[in-house]
Amino acid sequence: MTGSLSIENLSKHYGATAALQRVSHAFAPGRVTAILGPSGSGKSTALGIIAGLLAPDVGRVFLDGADLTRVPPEKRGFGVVFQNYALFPHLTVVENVEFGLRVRGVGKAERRRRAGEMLDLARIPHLAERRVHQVSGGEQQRVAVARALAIRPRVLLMDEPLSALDARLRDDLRAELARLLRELALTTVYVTHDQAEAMSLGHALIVMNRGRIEQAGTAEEIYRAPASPFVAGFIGAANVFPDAEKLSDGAVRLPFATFPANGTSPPGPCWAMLRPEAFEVAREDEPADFAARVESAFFLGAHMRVQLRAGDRPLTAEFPAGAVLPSSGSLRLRVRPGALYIRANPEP
Amino acid sequence: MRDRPLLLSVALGSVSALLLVVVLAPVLVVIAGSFLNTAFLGISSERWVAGGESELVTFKWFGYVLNLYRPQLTFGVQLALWNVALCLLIGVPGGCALVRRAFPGCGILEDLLLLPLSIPGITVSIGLLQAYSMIRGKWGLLLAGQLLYTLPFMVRSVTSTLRAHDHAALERAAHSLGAGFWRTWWLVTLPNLRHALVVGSLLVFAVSFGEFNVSFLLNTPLYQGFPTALYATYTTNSFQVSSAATTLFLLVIVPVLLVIQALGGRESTKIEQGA
Repeated sequence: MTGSLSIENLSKHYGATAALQRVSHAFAPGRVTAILGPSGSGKSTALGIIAGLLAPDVGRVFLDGADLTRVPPEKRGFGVVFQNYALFPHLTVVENVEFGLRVRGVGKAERRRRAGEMLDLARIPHLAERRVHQVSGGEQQRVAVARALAIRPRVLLMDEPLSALDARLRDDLRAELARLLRELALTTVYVTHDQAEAMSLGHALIVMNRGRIEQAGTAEEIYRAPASPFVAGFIGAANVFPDAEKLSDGAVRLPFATFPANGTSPPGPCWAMLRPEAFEVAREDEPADFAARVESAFFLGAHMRVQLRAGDRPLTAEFPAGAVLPSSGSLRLRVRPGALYIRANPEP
Repeated sequence: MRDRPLLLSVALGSVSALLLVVVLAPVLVVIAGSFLNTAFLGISSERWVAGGESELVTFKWFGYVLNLYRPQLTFGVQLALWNVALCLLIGVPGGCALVRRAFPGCGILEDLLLLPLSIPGITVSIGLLQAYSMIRGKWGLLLAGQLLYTLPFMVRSVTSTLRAHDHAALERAAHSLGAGFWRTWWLVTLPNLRHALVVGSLLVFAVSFGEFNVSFLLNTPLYQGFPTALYATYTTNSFQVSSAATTLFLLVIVPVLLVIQALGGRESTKIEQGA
């Protein structure tokens, strides 16, 4: 299958700051890989290097076995959707979309036809003759996607394509973009800091932090088995305990209680995670794992989010909306079987 | 617009009108003077432009001035056009390079470029005379001196447009779509600079044509700009002749300024619209 994009050992420094440190990954051909990370995690730098707009200090970029590292962006044939779209203000919508074809010497009639197809695909054929500044933000986003796709790119790169839009519009466009990308079956790298966007658009996820890949996998894999405390906190909500310890009898000691083991890590210091949905209220006749003080509770529709304090540790818990909870005071809590996740401390 | 009390409107209108009169009066007097036949009024014995003695309004001063200062007028326009050409040639690539920080010291250079505008023209001119005494008396030196004043206007015009539009992003987009350096320059950078180049050229033309300091000190009898001629006419000729010369000067410069004003206004509304 064509569209096998991979990066090998990419590093990039800005002065003394390391934006990217020895990053390698083979992207799934024909699928969408979302690179997720906070700002400054190196995700946009990685995308810039793949696009050819930034040069790595070391490392290489391959497509279908060919080394593209020294190939300038205009010769890569990658479609790029930029964060602020970077539409050409002196051209109309359709002229923007056909720009790549014009540069490739495609004749006027043919490029009008293909640009028209792209505008249909992006559902904005009625805007063809408008100037760029005469269309709305969401429409500009569609123009940017149509323009990137018009060159029939070998790889599609998207840098926070929805972040400039307001929340409602973002949700609508996200669903539409997900449909479009599924239909295109194009190797796509989608950079975002929004986990909902990453999880709904990406077939595969890469979580980046401080210039490194913390974990790569499917959304579910990463949610169930985060590789580091950072990933645990970044993908979904989590109560993370960096100072847990696995005892020699297999039990796990957290600061406020000790629990039966889960996982097979060797005894010693480790980190542990409890998702908010890991807790249940113990019945009167049941033994409880620990007691916690209720600090606040919010009704969130399908469930209640409760801020707890166990010993000196704040905890976030979620209970089904029907659960009967005291609005203050103390709760006797159990941790669902198998819900405590532990992992050996990451290498320093 | 909201309704204003009548009294306030009248007061505001009067103040505005008064200010307008104060500002415009000298100009209007000069313009009127250039058409006035003082000999007809009997307050001047000036007779060395023949004809029209029996009319109050006359155009004869223009004929006289045009004849007298044609070389200066022609040379002034030529010099201004040379300025425009060289500013386009140097200022446009230069402005792009400055915005991209293409080489070390770009920031300092950009600041230095504005320096001549804040140094007295006489200092610049004497400096130029001393540094380049071998080409003293050549109009090239006059052009070089003027360029110090005109180039900043073109460069400023270019850099502010490039910065306002995040041009680097547009160029990256063009590269990603397959356009190399020159295609990007031709298809993206230049079209987006078109407006800046028109305004910049007009500004350069106006500054060069109206520049007096450097032109006065670096001129030679053969190569004099029009303001130098104006100076000469004020010191040696009658009120009517100098008025006519001034009116000629305004005739060249005012349309240019009006176009700059109109274009400048259009550009700022475009930027406000987020173009």
